[in-house]
Amino acid sequence: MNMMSKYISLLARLIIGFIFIYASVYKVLNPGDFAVSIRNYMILPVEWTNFVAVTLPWVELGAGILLILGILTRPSALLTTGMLLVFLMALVHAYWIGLDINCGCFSSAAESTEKISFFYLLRDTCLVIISAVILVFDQGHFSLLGKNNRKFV
Amino acid sequence: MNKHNEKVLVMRFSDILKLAISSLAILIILSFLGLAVNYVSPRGISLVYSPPPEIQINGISVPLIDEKQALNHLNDPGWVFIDTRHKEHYDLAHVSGAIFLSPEEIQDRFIEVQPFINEDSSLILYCYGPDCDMAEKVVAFLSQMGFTKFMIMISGFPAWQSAGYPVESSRR
Repeated sequence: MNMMSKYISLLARLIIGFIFIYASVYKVLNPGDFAVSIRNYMILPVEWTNFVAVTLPWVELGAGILLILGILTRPSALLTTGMLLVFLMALVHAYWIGLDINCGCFSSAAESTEKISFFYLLRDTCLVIISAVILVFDQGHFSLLGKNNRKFV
Repeated sequence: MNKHNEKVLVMRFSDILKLAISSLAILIILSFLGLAVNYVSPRGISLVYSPPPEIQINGISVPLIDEKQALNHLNDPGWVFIDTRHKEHYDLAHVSGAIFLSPEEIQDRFIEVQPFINEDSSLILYCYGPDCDMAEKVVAFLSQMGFTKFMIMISGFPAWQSAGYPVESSRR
C-alpha cells in the first residue's frame, strides 16, 4: 500500500500540477479577460473581480509548479483542492441558475467557445478527488528537496 | 489497516494547523507576486473594478466603456462591433471585424447589415470620441428595431488605434 501510494501520489501531483500551470498561463497574461470571466459568474461583488483576476492565476501557477517539484506538496495540494472546490461551486451555481456563459477555465470566457455543461461539473469533481489524493497520501517522496520536504509540514 | 496507514490518514490537530498556515503563507506570497507583476505590467489592470458609467437611450441602460474594456470583447462571438463613423473613415481603418452602420441613411444600410446581427447580439458601438453622438443615434435606431444589449466605446476609434489594438481597412 505504501509503495503504491507514493506512485499514485506522484501521478496525481503531475496531473494536477500540469493542469494548474496550463490553466494559469492565459489568465496570468490576460488579467483583464479573466476579470470579465469572473464577472460573468455573478458570484463575487464586481469591485473585487479585478483583484481576484490579478492574484488567483499566480496562486494557480505557483501551486502547480510546487506540486510538480514536490516542494511544500501538501500545503500546495490543500490550495489546489480548495481552489478546485471553489471552481466546482461556481460551475454548479452557473449550471443551476442556467447562466448562458462560457467556462473560462483554461482561457478567458471570450476565447472559450464551449458553454458550461454537465461534463465540466464531472471533470472538476474528478480533479477535486485527484487533488485530495495528494493531500491524503503524499509522504514527501519524489521531491526536489529529498526527504527535507516533509520538514515543512 | 495497519498502524502506519492509520498514522498517514489520521492527522493530528497540530499537523492540520501547520498545514493550514503553510498554505496560507503560499497563498499570500503568490498573491503579492501577482500584485507586483500587475503593477509593472503594461497589461496590468486597476485592482478595484469600477462599473462603467451609463446613459439612458429609449429606456435602455447603455454602459460607456473605454477601448481597453472593449478589447476584452473583441474575440467574443457573442459581441459585434459597429462603426458609426462616416464611410470614408470606416474604409480607411476600423476595429477588426466591425460592421459599418452610420446614422446617415441608416434605414437602407440596416437592411444590408441585418444578416450579421440579431436581436440577441450584444453590440459595441463607437464613433470619433466623447464629443461625437453618432453611436448614440445608432443605438436609438437599433433599440427601436428590438435590440437591447449595447455598449458605447466612448473613447472612440482614435483611442483604439492609438492603443495599437487590431484594426483593418476596407480599401482595395
